[in-house]
Amino acid sequence: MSIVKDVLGGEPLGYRIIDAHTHLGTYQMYGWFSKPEYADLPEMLAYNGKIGIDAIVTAPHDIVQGRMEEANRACLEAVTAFPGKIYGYISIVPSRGLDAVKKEIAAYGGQKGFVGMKFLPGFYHGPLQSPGYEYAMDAALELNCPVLCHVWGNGPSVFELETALKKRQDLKLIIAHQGGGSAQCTYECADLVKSYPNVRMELCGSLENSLGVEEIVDLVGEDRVIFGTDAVNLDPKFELGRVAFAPLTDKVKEKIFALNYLELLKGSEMSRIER
Amino acid sequence: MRIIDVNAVIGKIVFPHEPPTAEKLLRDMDQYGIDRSVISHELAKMDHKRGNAAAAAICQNDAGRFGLCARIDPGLSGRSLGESEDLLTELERSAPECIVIGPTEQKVPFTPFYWDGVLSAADRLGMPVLLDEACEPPLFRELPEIAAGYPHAKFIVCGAGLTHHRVILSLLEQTGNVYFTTAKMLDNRQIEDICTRGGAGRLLFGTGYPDIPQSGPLGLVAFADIGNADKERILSRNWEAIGYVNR
Repeated sequence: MSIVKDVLGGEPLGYRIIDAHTHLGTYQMYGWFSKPEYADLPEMLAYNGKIGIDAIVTAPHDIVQGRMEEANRACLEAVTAFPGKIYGYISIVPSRGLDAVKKEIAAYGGQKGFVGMKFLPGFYHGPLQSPGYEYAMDAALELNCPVLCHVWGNGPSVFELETALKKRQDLKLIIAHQGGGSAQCTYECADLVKSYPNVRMELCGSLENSLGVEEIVDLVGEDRVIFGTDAVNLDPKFELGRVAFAPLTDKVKEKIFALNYLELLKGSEMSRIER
Repeated sequence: MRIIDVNAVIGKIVFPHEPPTAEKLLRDMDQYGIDRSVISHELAKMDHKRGNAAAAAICQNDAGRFGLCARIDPGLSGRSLGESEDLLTELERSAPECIVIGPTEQKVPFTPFYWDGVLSAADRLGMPVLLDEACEPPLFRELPEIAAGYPHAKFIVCGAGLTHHRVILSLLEQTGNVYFTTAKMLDNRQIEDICTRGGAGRLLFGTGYPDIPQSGPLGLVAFADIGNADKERILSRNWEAIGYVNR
């Protein structure tokens, strides 16, 4: 019997699952549409419980439209109201100005429940080599915390990512969206993931990626793949299925679903998630 | 619970993989517990008659694991399948489970004026018609009139989902013969919302293999917060009710 049939028969997955790439707040832009109530935090967490997701790490949607301070305030409310279920990224928006970025990192870097930083470079907020992002990456290196970096298509480019990493070889950089949302992008980013000790590849947004998760594991290594879903922007069940049903051992799935992320948080001066 | 993938393609090149053979598809189906796939052959886009014959041969060889989806060209009509121009004759002879058409790729506007020959045959037989191209607004603009004009045909929109929820809801509510595959229903809780509104009977499990692995589309249904009856409908029962050879 396949795992799929087990799940259809009501068997729980049985893995600990941390969703390392999520957003809070309703999102109806660019054609996206879902009931606003699905983004209510208690409702969202109850749903996550039903499908087996134990905790999320999040950056509110305000970051998309550049509302950095609002994003971080909303995140603080969420991590405070739902400890152990919601953890936060400090949203970094360079267009708010370097002083504003410094202020946010100072305010939230030591805040309980915040475990890293979230960048939206590329078409959203400009190049990775902008003063705000450069400062934030230096701060992340000092704090030894992860940076979840949006990557879609060629934005930011592999060149930008590698430029950042050459200056900060130990930076804990999580390259989101399997390197850009397509097999071609995954291949292009794979070398970075393999070459730098703390670079990881996160999985969400794989709707147009022909590579299975097992192939991504083959490319970058089982210790370097991080589970994320882009919920509530996207339905989390797609990525959940991609990992849960992949032809991989339980041990590897456990790593992808949670252990790789927890390992990355080791040694961080920001908050951590209990193992 | 049986699982039928209503939209799989043999022989399609998708980087970085080799074009899948029937054997490869069977291995992948077994990996994921998929019982049957309804297949077309990529060759049919270039040479309809040869490609449809290749798909038919695969279906004959494989012990009920495959069903035939025939690709029809409005310019070829029955000669998409056999020797006769008459599409109705050829469809009755070859009895595919469904047909698939590509208005955008073939640069033929999807209106009754251009497609009546194909659609009236499908309507006469009550046959499902797959639309497996990119889901752009022109399709959604044309579909209500098409669906109303051929009420016995079943129009199956493949690959609609993310960013299409508003359109999908309207089509489900205001037509009776437009269906959707679930593979790309990634607007948050899209499948749940459709089922809550009574639309489970118009959803079909169809992955678009080999564009993406079947695992993600399976996750959307297997983990959905809907009843088992609705899951079963989506995964197999709905197709068993409308697929042509099953009638």
